Amino acid sequence: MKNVITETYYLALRSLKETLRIPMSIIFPILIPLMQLLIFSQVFKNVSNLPGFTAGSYLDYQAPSIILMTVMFSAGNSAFAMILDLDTGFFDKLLLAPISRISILLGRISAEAIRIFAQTIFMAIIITVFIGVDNKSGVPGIVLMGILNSLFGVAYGGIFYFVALKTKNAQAAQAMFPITFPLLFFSTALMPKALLPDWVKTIVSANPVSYIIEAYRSLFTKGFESGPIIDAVTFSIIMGIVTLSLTWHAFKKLVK
Amino acid sequence: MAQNYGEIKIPTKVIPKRPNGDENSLLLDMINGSREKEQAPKSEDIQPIQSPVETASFQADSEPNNPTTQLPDDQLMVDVQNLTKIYPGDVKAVNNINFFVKQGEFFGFLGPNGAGKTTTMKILGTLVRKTAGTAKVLGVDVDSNPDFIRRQIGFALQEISLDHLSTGKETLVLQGVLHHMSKKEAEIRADELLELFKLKEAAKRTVGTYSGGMRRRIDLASVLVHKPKLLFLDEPTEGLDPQSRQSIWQYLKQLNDEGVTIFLTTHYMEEADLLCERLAIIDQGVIVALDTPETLKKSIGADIVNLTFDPTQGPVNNETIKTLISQIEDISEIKFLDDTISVFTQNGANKVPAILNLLSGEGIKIESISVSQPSLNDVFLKYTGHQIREEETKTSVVNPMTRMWVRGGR
Repeated sequence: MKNVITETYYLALRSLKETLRIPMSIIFPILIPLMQLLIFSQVFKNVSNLPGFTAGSYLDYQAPSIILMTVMFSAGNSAFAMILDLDTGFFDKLLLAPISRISILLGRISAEAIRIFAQTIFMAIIITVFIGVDNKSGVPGIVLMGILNSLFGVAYGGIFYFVALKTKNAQAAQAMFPITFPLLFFSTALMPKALLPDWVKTIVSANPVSYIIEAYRSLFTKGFESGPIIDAVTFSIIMGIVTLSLTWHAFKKLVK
Repeated sequence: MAQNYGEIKIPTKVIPKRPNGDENSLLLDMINGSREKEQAPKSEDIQPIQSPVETASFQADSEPNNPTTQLPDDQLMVDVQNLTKIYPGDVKAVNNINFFVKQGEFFGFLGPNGAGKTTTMKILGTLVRKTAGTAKVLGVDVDSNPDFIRRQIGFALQEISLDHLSTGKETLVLQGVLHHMSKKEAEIRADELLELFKLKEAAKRTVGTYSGGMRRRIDLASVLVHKPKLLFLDEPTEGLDPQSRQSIWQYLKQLNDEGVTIFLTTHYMEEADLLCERLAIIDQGVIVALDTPETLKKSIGADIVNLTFDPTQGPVNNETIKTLISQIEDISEIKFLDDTISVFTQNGANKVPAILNLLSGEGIKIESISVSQPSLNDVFLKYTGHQIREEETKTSVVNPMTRMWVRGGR
């Protein structure tokens, strides 16, 4: 067990260094959601005049979903990097080392969690300090958003890991990326539930993404309320159990 | 080509001569740039003088299918019996092979791509599971305790397997800590290896910026961090230019002289000939011959006179030539390969005038004639009936044993 922790630590360190050496892999997941924030807040500006729209402005409404987009837009990166290791043979090199096989996966996943945490904090600071969106939960709220985002990011990233490890093909995993869009659009990310058609409401209620966004929204607009936070944690954990068990299964098969 | 050996200098202090040194001293002389033997080696120069102990063990190997029984287990670094690997789709990559590697030995697998070299090595390195037979590394079965084996061995994969975004030093330190060295120990060892492999200047650059030769060196260094007693090297000089190749050879000789047992695969005849003390020739998953390179070459039992004909006179009739040359005494075999005719005979040099006379008497113009000691290429041809690889045969003209080379024929 002690070995697994040390091995995971060094492998995570290696993954993080790798991320830092491709600055684009950090910049784009921040830049693109910010662009979205800018575009949507202008295009949908008048949505805030609709009856039933409760938030003050569309910008305020959308800000929490931007936090989540940061993680969704970069969710596959870590899985792709593992496939790159497979392609270069570095993965075999890791298998040749006298280490627990699980450390290889844990190293990547913990590095991913740390990266998402840092990125989320950065994003939240931009949104509150520079764009001026009101944040009732303050600094502790931002830290909590970082933790929740990491939790969700790891669970969501599991989908990409599973496909990547199953197919051993980065393109196949990359082809999964568009699932981000139905997950975002069929949630409360862009439109309050009250304004949606009934059949869409049903989907939105079943979509874990809605619960994560509502937790962030509640942190932004109301401060600390246990209900939405517990919901977000629960949905992330359920999703994580499913995706990571699939991932572990595919990984075991790969290193057998 | 052979002069290239002169560009590498090995301090003789670092590489002590072996007790059964002739073969190796020839290598060292070539590497150190001594020209005498290269130009006209007399026959006694190329006969290895073996100590009685070595002779005995070599005799034990002459039966490739039953090589391991005579030796006590603790001496064997690798012990393989009836090893078979069948991949899905009924592809038999390795077919019932037997061999062993002794402590301190430089052992090699020579064979073409797809012969089963990599599969065998990956089974021994715990990366691939065997289908049948036994495979022991350091006395331990590969399936029973793979982690023990992983701790003890160094394994350089055929594809240079590096993380391009790590620096040279990080690459080595990571290998160290993954072998459970402390970070400090790993760093000290990394600096040592960077120095040894002349990569100190490049230590802080990411490996992605390295040249091919540097990548091979850092890859090789990365399997040495934990000071393994046994090294598996899968085609360690694949795709390298002659100079980088020779510098890798130098490191490998040095390691072996320091007591590291090395098991290498290659499809380069030259490499197998220069480095390996014992050599298994493997083709289509089967070991077809296993012995010292010298004994294997002697098994051909003749010199080889190679002839090519002036292409301006149109194609020559192979049968005519065969009939003509067969008139000469002591011709054991005549083989046709592409546009070259190989005549296997005792005292090849003495036969050249007769061959020239006979052919020019018939008005056949010769482009080139050369006499050579049998090379591993000829050995490979003899045991498998085909060339190791078309392009290899062209470059393996680099035969330091070539005695004479006559251009222009008549």
